[in-house]
Amino acid sequence: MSSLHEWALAEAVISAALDVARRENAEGVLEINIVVGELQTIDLEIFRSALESLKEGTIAEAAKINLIHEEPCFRCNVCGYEWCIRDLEEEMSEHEIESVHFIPELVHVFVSCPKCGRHDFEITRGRGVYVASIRVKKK
Amino acid sequence: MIDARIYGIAKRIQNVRRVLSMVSGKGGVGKSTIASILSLVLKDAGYRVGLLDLDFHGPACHIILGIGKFQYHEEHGIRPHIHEGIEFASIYPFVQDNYVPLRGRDISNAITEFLSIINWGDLDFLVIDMPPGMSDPFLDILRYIPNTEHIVITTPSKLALQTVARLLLFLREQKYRIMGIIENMKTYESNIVRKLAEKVDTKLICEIPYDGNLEESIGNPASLRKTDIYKELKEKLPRIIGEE
Repeated sequence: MSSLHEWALAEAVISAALDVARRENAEGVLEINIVVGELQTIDLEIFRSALESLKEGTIAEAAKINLIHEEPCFRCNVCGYEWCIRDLEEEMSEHEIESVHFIPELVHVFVSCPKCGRHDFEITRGRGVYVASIRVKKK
Repeated sequence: MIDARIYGIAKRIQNVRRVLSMVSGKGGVGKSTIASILSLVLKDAGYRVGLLDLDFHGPACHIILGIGKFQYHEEHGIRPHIHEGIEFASIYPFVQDNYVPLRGRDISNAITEFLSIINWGDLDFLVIDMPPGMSDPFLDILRYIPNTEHIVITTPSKLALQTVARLLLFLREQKYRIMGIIENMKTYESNIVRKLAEKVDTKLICEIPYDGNLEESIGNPASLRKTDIYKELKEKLPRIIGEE
């Protein structure tokens, strides 16, 4: 799997952080807390490196980046069963993992409820990348 | 919680000059066929063209244009697949022939993710083949790309017209851009669609007769270029893109 998708995600995160800082009229971004759902199989090293590189020369340059891991968990809409996936390679092929890497909702195509076999379930946690919080320094 | 993906979408389409969406409240009126053939017409007229198939449950543009199996090339996201000089993106390479049982909110999430990772090049036109209806995909495009120009496709069937009229009313009242109506699969003389266009103060772009031989051209761009649909769309291109 190529790592370039991580750059796209990192770009979006830094754009979001800078937008928040601008709206808060902040002089700098101190901390960015990012949840990384493991369903998206992000290469954390590349993702962190992209974040560090992209924040250079911006008011987020000194920001501390915290990556918070989340195991992917699900709840079946049909029978109510709840489960988590620890090892994606046991559940999906390489192609399927790559498809889910790009669009996590496609897990519904490749995975079904272990109890009733239906594909109608919620991703309760660990879906993908989102910014949990940003701490800024006010002017 | 901040959804950073939304920030990525604007960047992905920043080099796209115009976005044309093929919409209809109703399914089976020929949106995918017109989106695909219009992309060929635009390309042949010298424009830089992208085609986005947003029908996650039933993507069809790859079938119409004869695009075989392919994988996306990654370049700060994914680069569209190039076919007949057209930049093409669809969910098909990811799901292939599997069924796609997604609820509305999952479709919306998937569309947001997809739009935030497709790295379109410098395009004059991005043509979007929309799924039928006015649910998540339609509302997401209005939300993320509000300056989209809508081409409304309908057949002259009474079964389609009432739903299409609602869509037109919505677009008009909400002040979105309507480029006009394409009447497709016309089998008999009738001014029912023209009257609808007049009612919502838009133009009837063209009337495309039903082509019983179209099926034979599906999957073959050279053959698609010889169809009446191609000829009609080519002739009316200035009207379609509002340059008449």
